Amino acid sequence: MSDSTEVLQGTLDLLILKAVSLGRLHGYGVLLRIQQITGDRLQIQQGSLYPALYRLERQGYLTHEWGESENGRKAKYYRLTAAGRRRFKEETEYWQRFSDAIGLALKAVPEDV
Amino acid sequence: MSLRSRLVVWLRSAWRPSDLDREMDDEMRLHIDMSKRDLLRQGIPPDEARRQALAAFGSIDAAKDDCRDALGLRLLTELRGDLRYAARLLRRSPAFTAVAVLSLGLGIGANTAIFALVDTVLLKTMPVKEPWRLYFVDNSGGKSNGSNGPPYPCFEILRDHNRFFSGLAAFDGGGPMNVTIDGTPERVRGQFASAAYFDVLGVRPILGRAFTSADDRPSADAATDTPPAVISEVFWERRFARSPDILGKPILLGRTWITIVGVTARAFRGLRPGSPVDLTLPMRVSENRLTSKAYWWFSVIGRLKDGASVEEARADLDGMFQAYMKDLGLKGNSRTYFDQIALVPAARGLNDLRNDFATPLWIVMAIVGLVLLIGCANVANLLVARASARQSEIAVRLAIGAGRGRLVRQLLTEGALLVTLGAGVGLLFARWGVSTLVRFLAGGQGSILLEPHFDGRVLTFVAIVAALTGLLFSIVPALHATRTDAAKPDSVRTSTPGRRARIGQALVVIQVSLSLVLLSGAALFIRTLQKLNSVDAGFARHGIATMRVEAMLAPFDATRDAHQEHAQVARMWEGLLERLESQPGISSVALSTMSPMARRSRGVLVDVVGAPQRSESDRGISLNHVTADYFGTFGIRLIEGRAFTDRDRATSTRVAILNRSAARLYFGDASPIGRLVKFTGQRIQDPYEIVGVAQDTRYGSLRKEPERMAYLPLSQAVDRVSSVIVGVRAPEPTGVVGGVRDAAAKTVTGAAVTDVITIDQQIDDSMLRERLVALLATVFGGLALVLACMGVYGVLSYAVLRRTREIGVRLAIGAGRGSVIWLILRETVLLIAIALVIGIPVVLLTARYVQAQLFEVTPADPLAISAAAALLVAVGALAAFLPARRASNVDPMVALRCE
Repeated sequence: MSDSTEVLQGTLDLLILKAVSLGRLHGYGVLLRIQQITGDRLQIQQGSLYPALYRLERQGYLTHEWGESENGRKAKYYRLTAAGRRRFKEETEYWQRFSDAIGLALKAVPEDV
Repeated sequence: MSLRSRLVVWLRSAWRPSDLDREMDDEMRLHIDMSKRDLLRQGIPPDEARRQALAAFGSIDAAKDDCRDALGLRLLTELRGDLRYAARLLRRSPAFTAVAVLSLGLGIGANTAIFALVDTVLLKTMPVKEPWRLYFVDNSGGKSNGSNGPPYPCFEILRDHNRFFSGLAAFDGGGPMNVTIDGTPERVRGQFASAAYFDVLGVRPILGRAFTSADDRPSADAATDTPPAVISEVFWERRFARSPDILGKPILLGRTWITIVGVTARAFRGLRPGSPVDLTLPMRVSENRLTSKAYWWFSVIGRLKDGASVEEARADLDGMFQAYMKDLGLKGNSRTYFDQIALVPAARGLNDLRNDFATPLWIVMAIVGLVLLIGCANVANLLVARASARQSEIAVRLAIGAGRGRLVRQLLTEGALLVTLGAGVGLLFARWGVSTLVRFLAGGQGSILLEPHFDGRVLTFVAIVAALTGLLFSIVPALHATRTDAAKPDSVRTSTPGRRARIGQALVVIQVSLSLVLLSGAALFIRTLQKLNSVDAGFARHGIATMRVEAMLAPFDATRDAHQEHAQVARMWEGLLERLESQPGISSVALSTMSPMARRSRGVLVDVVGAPQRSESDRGISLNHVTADYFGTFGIRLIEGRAFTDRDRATSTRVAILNRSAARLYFGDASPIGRLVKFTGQRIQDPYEIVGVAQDTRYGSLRKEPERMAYLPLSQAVDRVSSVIVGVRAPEPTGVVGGVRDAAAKTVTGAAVTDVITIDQQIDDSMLRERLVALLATVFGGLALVLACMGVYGVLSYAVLRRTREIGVRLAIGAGRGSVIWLILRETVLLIAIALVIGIPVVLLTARYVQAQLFEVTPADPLAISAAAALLVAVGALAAFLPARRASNVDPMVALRCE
């Protein structure tokens, strides 16, 4: 995994919200979904996933329900709340504006200045 | 997730941390197992898959900790740890814990008990609807506490024509009433109130009905009229066991049948704190007083309309009142007392207790506050001592990276735990203390019946006091302890004892000087009691019993001739006297309408015949109708002239005796004997010839200067005497009550004998306030003394411990035991001396605030202060002696080796 990129500070929350917005997931599922949708390009500290989930739940963006995992064990499934959906939208827009700006900045050549 | 469900999660995880832990565990295990399974599918061998899965996850415990933090539980987890640690420490030193908890418990308990009383007597508002909109209508311009309502006919005008009140109601002061329930005579506390009373207050019955406007007028057929009565829930429970059948139940009040129609809820017991009412009757029951145009006997309360200002409401009523008084022939400039309407806020009820007890209660509140401070100093001292024993531990914890804030928090947690235990113990003390105080106040003849509750207000007070206390006694030791230098744990033992000793000494000085203040106060109050007990009251104090005998006279009839009627009533009383005089066991007996200390008085206006009329206030005089032996029975000396005799009859020359103050004012140095006086405005206008001057006596209170008094023979009364006080001098004063009852039953129509009491007891009752304050000041002064002694003992014990080596050296090089004892005692003497130097000016400054409560004792009474100081020095020295003797018993070899 030497070619994978570390997650930028603060973007883990956005990734989690995105992952969960596609359907309810348990903790490991969140990890897999993020790896899947990022094409495995980001390196995620698995242990740091849970504090982030708990924090998002405390902030009211996620809620959980207990269900059965694919191998028949009790699992905690996370799902977006209405507030979480709003938050996800805001964060997405913010990220788009931010990355556009950074991209624009990095494309600049001496002639433009 | 809503705020509420979030709170639920938080509380649940806080309350049941193991549940949360298991949940996190399950979740993370599942994660690792699934990760392992995926690795296995990729063909990695089981052991390696397991290793990789665990490694990829990282530390489970760290993740759990982070999750807890993410939930905001960190503080709680730490607090839990701190609490557990603190509890373990307290359990490990039971003596320390016991002393600290007891010091705090006594202090907090005393404060709680006194606060409960202060709250009930001084602070609490009436349990009625919007009490702040209620006002008493006082026609004495606010000179009373609001209790002076106008005469009833005037009240009716105000009630029907005012523009700014939603309702006005009249009620009387209330008092004991004799009723007969199911054939059993009983005494209940009752009052009369006009029909609007309950409506104005917004008090709804819990059973039956309150009064309606029809209740002010008797029903058409006077013979079968049974006025309605509303009873209190407490009475309903006590007397009728909450039976719902009591509605419609007839009760006999004197000669009138009344009917119970409703019950009011427990909280409401009338408008006078300390005088709960069980029975409320409409005013029509006391009909004859309602029509009198110039008879002041009840109070008026009104509810101000929304948006009405107090001043416009007052002006509106005052206009009507002035017109009424003018019609009565009493113009404004001829009235000094009933001069104008004032509106007195009624939210806290008609509180006579407040006048009497406000200052004493605040004084006692201050006293218990100081006791708590002294207790705090004690606990702080113990904590500093213990903290210094824990210096090394704290230094080590600092060295391995504990934050100072975290350590301070840990020490504060210990303080919080201590103070919580203390508050618990304090509540127990307070319950006991409150019931003792309530019994004390209810014991006297004045029967102050209070019902303080440990309600939310009191508990809030306890919580605030406990929080402040805890902060106060733990902040100093906590800051002090963490000032330790982490880098040099070993240096601790040599560098801090000096500072620790200085803090201890400072705390002891504070304790001793506060104790001096309390003890001096106690001494001042005790001296006041002594002075009151030895004041010349003008009458004999011992061996005399008094009791009231009430007669049921025929209804008042203004058309009858006053001379004949009064003489006839007097003959009935003389019949009673004759019977009593012949009874065995009675040395001397007299009837009178007033008696010393009975607190009732009858004021009239007096004019000297042939002298210019004096000002209204100079004309006022108290009137006492007495039988011949009154002066002998009560031991009142005649200064001039003669006493009354059996020859002063209704038909003989009317005679009077003045007391010294009256004689002085009206006649100066000239002899009043033979001069004539008239009691203007009374039913009997005949002049009375002065035949004697009696010595002044105090009436009602030993504190008050004697008032002017005129004595008339009962047979020549200006009043229709419907009740008398029987004064009996006997070897066994209370043993004669049965005889008096028998004699009264045979001679007096409808006789009721009440208020049996000795003069000694009445004097005690009249000094209830003084006794209460002296008692509490003494008890708490003693408590302060004990606490301060514990402080002295603690500081010196520590000093001896600290100086063991030095003492060993001294003994080894030949110092005597005596000089070692002196070495230690010297420290005490110095501490106490400093405390006295600080304390005495404080006493002189603060004693001024209690001056009004003292009697013939100056606030700077040298005897009181020096007695307090001497007691402190003596007891302080005693407390110091134990450690000093321990010092003198130090074995030099042991002392030197232990270093």
